[in-house]
Amino acid sequence: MNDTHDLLGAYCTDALDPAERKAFEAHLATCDPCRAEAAEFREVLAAMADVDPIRPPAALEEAVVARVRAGVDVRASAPSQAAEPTQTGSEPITEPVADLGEQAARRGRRGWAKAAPWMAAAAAGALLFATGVGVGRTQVPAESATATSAQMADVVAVASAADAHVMSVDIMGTTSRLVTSDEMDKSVFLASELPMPAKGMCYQVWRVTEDGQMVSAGAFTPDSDGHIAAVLEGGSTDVTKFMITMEPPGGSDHPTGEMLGEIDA
Amino acid sequence: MHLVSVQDPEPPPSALVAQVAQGDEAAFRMLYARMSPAAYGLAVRVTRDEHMAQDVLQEAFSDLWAQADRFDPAVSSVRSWVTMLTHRRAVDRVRREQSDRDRVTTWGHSAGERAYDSVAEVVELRAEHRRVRQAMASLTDLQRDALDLAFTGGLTHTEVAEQLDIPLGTAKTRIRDALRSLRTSLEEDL
Repeated sequence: MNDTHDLLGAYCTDALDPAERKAFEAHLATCDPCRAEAAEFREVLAAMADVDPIRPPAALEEAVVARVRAGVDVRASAPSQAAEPTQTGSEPITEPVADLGEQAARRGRRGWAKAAPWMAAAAAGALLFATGVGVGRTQVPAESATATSAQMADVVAVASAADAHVMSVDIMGTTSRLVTSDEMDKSVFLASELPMPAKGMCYQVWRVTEDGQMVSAGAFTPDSDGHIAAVLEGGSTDVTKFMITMEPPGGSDHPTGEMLGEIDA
Repeated sequence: MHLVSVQDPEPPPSALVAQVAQGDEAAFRMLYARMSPAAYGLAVRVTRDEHMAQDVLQEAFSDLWAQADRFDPAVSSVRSWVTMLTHRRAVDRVRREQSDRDRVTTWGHSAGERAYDSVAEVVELRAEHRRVRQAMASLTDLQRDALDLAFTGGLTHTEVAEQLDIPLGTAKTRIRDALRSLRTSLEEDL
């Protein structure tokens, strides 16, 4: 039907309302010419989008990585969620088809809320260790999924803060990143291949202040894959450098272990 | 180990997506480095708000991560896939949070630093940019306005019709015709 074919441009520019989109996708599934033309239209739109690139703030990459890390186990535990937009759009897209208000509400619950079943399920998950162990020196058990996803939300909040500053540090041949936000008075330590410390030991980050004091920012243990995303106390205000040591369980009042890495603030 | 080795060129984007599907964070970072400037530029233009654009970028790349295992390079380029994911998130965002705000904008109006720095990349992209701009210029004003309102303005085709004071059927055919014309222009140039 001609009328339906006509909607192709509006479909590719996301200009259909949810009901129209659903109807058009049903059409697309059966119409080879429309699917072929949709692919061409999308290439045109991509070329248009490429004309005015803007480099995003550097810390956003860390926020994105922290976010997908939280989703790793979501994917592993719920691999076949049909609710995501598909590549071609020719398969049913349940999410965008829903009423926009409902969709907005649902979208609002995605992300960290989505981490809840994952948290409950994945005892070995990186973030359980990352956020459950040690903000500051106190071992904070992962009491509930809610608390844990709130902490994960902190990771993203710090990494995407307006004043977020990213620094890299080499620890035993692996690269870790420290993101600081003075505005939030917090930092985030991120690594994806940090060696597991000796049994029972943990990593501890120290803030070296301008008057030479070493103040603990927090202690943490990565998971068996070396993943960690830990929220630390304090930003980089009055800090000359950050140091990382290995410490006994729960961390120490003063650094006792070998210095594994340092970052000039 | 070779004493003298030429650094491996970065894998093509589709190979990176395949690695991302295996949970490869380094590949994800490489894809992000390559694709995020265009995606962020698009998100900024559609949302007209840096903070919203940053949320959109996070959502789009989370989608990329989650759906990498379903990406088929035979169906589309990585670039067009990322554009689609980003645009969809951006449009969702403006429709739910800015329904009252005047989102009418003009294509090409954007601010921000140019994001590419390799000379070869700049030369190649500039050539494509020029072709795209020429192709845009070859559209009729009516086609360009309709496409611009839908793609950059994030309006539905019903809203496009209202905005331009044209019948609904005209709005949708204009958007389609604009895209067909651009496709033809860009094909000729390649």
